[in-house]
Amino acid sequence: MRSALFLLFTFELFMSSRDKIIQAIKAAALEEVPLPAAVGNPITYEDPVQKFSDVAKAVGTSVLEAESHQAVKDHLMQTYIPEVQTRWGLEQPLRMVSTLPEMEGLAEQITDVALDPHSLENVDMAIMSAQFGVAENSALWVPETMIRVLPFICQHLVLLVDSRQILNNMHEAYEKMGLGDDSFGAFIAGPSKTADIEQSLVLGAHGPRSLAIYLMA
Amino acid sequence: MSTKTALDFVSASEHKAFDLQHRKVINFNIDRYDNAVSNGLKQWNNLENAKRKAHSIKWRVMENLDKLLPEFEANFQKNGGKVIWANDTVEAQREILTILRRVQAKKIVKSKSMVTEEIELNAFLENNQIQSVETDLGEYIVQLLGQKPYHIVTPAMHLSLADIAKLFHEKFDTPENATAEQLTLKARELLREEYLLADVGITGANFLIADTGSIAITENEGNARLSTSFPKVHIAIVGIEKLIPSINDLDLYWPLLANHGTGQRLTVYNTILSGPKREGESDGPEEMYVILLDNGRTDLLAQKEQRQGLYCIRCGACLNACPIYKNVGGHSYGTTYSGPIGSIITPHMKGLQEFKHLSYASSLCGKCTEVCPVKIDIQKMLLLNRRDSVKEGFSPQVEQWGWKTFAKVAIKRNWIDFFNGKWKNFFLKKFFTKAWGSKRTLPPIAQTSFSKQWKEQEKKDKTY
Repeated sequence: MRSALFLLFTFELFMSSRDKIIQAIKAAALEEVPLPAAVGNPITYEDPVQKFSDVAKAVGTSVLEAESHQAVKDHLMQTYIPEVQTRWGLEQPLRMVSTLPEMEGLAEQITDVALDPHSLENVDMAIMSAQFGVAENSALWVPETMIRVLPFICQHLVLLVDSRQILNNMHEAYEKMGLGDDSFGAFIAGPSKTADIEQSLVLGAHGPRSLAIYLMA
Repeated sequence: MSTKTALDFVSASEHKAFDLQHRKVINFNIDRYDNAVSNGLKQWNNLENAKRKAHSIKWRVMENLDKLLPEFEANFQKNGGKVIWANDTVEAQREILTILRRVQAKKIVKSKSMVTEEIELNAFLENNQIQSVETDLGEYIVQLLGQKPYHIVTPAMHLSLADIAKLFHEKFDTPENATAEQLTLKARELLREEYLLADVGITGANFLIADTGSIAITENEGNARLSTSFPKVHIAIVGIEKLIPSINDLDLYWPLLANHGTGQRLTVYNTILSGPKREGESDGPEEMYVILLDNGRTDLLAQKEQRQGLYCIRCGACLNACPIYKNVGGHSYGTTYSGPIGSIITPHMKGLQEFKHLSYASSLCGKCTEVCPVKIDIQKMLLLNRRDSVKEGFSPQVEQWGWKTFAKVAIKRNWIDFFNGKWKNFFLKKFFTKAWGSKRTLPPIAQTSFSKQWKEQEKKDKTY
C-alpha cells in the first residue's frame, strides 16, 4: 500500500506539463456531441471582379487593369511609378525588386535562395503575384515559398492577379487553398494601416504604405 | 471582508467615473468604433447564423480539447515546429527564458499579445536583462508611458492625439502639434530598426489550427509579419482555448473578428504560419516554438455552466458596448482582460474570492451578450459567478447577516412597522452610505410607513 502511494507520488512529481494539462481537460468530463449542421449559403456576386475592385478601392488600394505583363511594365514605368514618386515625395530613383521573371529590366530579380533578407530593408517597391483574390473583402492570397518578408518590408507593394482567379468569398478561397502545402502565406487586403491614435485611420503603419493591384485580363 | 483588489477597483472606478476628460476621450474613440462596426456588419447576409455557427464550432472545440490539442501538436511538429506546454505563468516564463538564453538573445521584438501581458513577460525579461520592444503602435505608446494596455484591441484608447503628440515630442522631438500621420511615420522609422536587430520575435496567435498544425495571426500594421520574418527564432505563446478544428473555419472567424474588433471587413494582414523556414526558402525563423498555456483555463473548463467563457476570440466588442467599461475605463479593472469578458473569466483563472467583485461591475443590461460574435451569454455568466460566490460563502459576514435579517423583517408587516423612520434611516446610513457613493446623498425613508399612512388616512376619511 505504502509503495503504491509512493509510486503515485513520484508519478505526480514527474508528470510533464503536457500530461497535467491533458489530465485537467479530461477531468473536466467533456461530452461527446455532434456538431450542428452548417447553416446559410455564402454570398456570391454577379460580377465578382467589379465587387473586388470596389471593395479594394474602399480600403485604400489602387486597382488597375492590364492585358499582359508587358502592359503592366509599361504602365508602371510611364504612369504608376511617377505617381508614387509625386504622391510620397520620393526624388531618388526607386529600388525595385520582383519575384516575377517578366519584370526583368524594370526590377531586380529575386532568384537566390541564399539572399539575406536584411538586404531588402531599403526596397522601395516590390512587384509580386498573388494566387487569387476574394471579392467580398478584396483579400489577395500571397503564398510565400521563397521570400516571406518582401511584401512587408517594401515601402510600396504591387500585386498582379489573374482576373479569372477572383473568387466570391472566403469559403471558396479555402477550397482553393487546400490544406497546408505552403509553410507560410498571407491574405493581404490593402496597404498596412493603423487606427491606434484616436481611432483615426493612417495608411502605412509598419508594412507597405501603398498597395496597387493589377487585374490581368 | 472585501479584498484589497476589490477595494482598489471601487476607488479607481469612482475616481474615473467622474473624470470628464477621460469620458470625453473614450466616448470619442468608441463613437468612431461604433460607426465603423455598423458599416462593417453590413457585409453579412445573415449575421445571426454566422454567430451561431461560430459558437457551435467553439463549443465542439472545448468538448474535444483533449483530442484536438494533441492533433495540433502532432501536425505542428510534422511541420518542423516545437510545442511546449506550460501550466502557469512561472513555467511559461521559464521556458521562454531557456530559449532566449540558449540563443543568447539580447533584444526581442514583440507583436501585440494579451497572453504575454497575462504572464507579465516584459517585466520578466527586463529583470533578466533582455530588452523587449513592443511593435504594435498602440502597445508601443503604452510601453513608452510605462502603462499597461487599456483595451484588449486598442491599447492606447484612453489617450488623445494631443497626449500622444506630447509624449513623442518629449521622447523623440517631433513637433508638439504633430498629426496622427506624422506620429505613425515616426514610430514606423524607429521600429523598422528594431526588427532588423532583434534576435527573437515573440507573438501571440489569434487561432491555433488543428488540422494543418498552423497558427494564424490577424493584424493591420504589418508588425507581426516583420517580427516573425527577420529574427532567427519565433516564439508564439497561445492560450489553449485559441484552437479551431480546421483551416476552413477561418472563413468564419477572420471576418467576425475583423468586423467586431475594428469594423473592417477583413483586417489588412491575415497570416498563416506553419513552422520554421524550410529548405529552399530564403527567410523566416530557423526555429519556431508554440507555447500552449493553461494558466487557469482548465479551471474554467471544469465549470460546465461557464465553460463558454473560453469561446472568446478577443475582439473587444463587449468592452466597447459596456456602459460600465465606458465609465470606469480599462485600467480600473486591475486585470489583464478588462470589461465584461474579463469580469467573467478572471474569477476562474485567478480566483473567485479575490475577483468576485467584478461580477457586480455590471448593470446586467445584456448589451455585451448582444454584440458577442461567438454568442457567449455574458450576463448569465456574471449572474452565475454571483451565485457561486454566495454559495462558496465568499460574501462578507455582515452582508450575510444583513440579508438574513432583511428577509425576516421584510416578510412581516408587523416587523416592518416595528421600527420607525428614524431607526430605518439609521440602519440605511450605517450600511449603505459607502456603497451609495460620496457624490450623491441617500434619500431618506419616510417617518411613517406607507401602510400606516394609508390606515391613518382611511380613519380620517371615515370621520368626515
